[in-house]
Amino acid sequence: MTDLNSLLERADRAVSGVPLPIGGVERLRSLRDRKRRNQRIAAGVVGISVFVASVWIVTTGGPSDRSGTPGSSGPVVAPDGPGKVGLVGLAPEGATPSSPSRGELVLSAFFAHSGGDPGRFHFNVYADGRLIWQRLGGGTGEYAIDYTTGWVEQRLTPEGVELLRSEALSTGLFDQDVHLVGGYIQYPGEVWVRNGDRLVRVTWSVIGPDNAATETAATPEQVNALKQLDARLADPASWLPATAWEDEQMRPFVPSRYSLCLESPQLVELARVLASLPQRAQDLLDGWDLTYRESTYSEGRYWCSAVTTERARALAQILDDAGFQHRENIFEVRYELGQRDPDATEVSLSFALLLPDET
Amino acid sequence: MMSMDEQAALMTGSLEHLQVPLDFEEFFETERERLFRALLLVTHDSAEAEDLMQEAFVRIWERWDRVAQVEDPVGYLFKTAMNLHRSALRRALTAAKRSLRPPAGRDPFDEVADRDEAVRSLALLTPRQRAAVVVTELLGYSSEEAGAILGVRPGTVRTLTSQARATLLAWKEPDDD
Repeated sequence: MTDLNSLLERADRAVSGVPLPIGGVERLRSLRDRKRRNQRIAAGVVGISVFVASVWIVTTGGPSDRSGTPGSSGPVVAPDGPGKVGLVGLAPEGATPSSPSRGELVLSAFFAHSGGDPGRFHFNVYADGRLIWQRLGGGTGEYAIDYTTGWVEQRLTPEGVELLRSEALSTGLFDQDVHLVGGYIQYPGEVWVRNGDRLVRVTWSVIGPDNAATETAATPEQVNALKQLDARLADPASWLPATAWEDEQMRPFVPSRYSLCLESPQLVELARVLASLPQRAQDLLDGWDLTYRESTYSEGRYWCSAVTTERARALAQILDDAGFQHRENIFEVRYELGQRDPDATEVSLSFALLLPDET
Repeated sequence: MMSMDEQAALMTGSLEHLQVPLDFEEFFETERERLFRALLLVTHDSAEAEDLMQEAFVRIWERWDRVAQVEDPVGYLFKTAMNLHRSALRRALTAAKRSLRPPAGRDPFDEVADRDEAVRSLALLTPRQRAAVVVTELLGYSSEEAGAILGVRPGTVRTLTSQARATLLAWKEPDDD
């Protein structure tokens, strides 16, 4: 053992007296989600994006067999393993995108049911009547595509939209934006609900982000109200009247647009990033509006653009033809470029689904 | 040929890291203290070490489906953390974030440094030298592996370590007098 080694081991023992940062995985999740949100903002979008393009219900029947049976066909998937219920990845050719392509958000919610992703539930209601939701499964392998329902679409009547909005407002939590923190809260979440002419945002977590000035200690009553709202939104078919549904059948939400992002952890210019792509891909991307953003939470650089499903599919096909491997998880399809040469620029290209409000 | 983990385990006398958990949360719980302490020794700043650790884990988590399958996820974690550390942009970012924070109390690291000569002695080294000796001497990676983790050539690692050794030769523990 060298003197230097001894010295370092002594120093290492000494610094073990510095307390470990608090927060654990939940804090990481919060940081990661904010990073993702920033990346979507780079493409002009806000919210959570998850890949789904599926003909599952049409081809397999699946839960659609329960359609038209109020009280049994709500967005309930066992959080401990919903199984693979839809294709994950780019929408297959011929799949009809959800219409209209854009939508005004009336209610948006996500509820975590663990310190990480497992069990998360996302729920969006649009003024045009679309109810688009997704639930993640649990257990290990949380990013595996088998652990998501995918984004599922149902159709509400105007009455149904209003009933869901009213359900959220009835909690009394949505007079103003607030971030609730404290020991009564087990897992984090977020709800946006239209109240008058604006979307009011309520978020909650065990610990706050960084700004104590905007945080409010949650009361047990507030936490209970959020839990009840979670339960109600998780199974609207159990309490919404039949007149609330225009089409209760669950169908895969097929996006009309994707967020395309080029990302490099190195501080390089876009031209160098683009040079990592096959020439055909460079030609295709020529003229696309790639918006540059610096990440708030990482030193990497990325450029994003909202593209049509057709364009996304065409670009992916070029990369596939060029032999680039891609990976799919519940959030995105990602191609790693520049991996063949250790000295090449490290670049990744990802596609993530855009919801109707994400414009 | 031994993996980086196996070599590290042999050099540090620990076999724990041969068992790489497949679950991210388990990986996080297993590695966070080790990473935090290493970053403390490199940065000499508990807030910066915390920021770097969190960001490194976030990056790993984002890619966990892939990272869990690489030969040495622990090495990948340290590489990520050290990449972040050496990034000038990251440093600017940290400074900007701190400016929004309320006045902080005394850094717990400083209190440890006050008490421990070994910790204080490392302040004689540059951050790059500290990173090199922490990765090689404490974590047990070879110069080649450390070069990959630190993003420099193996020769640079050896040079930095040699420089650190020379600098610390001038440091003499009070107990030795």
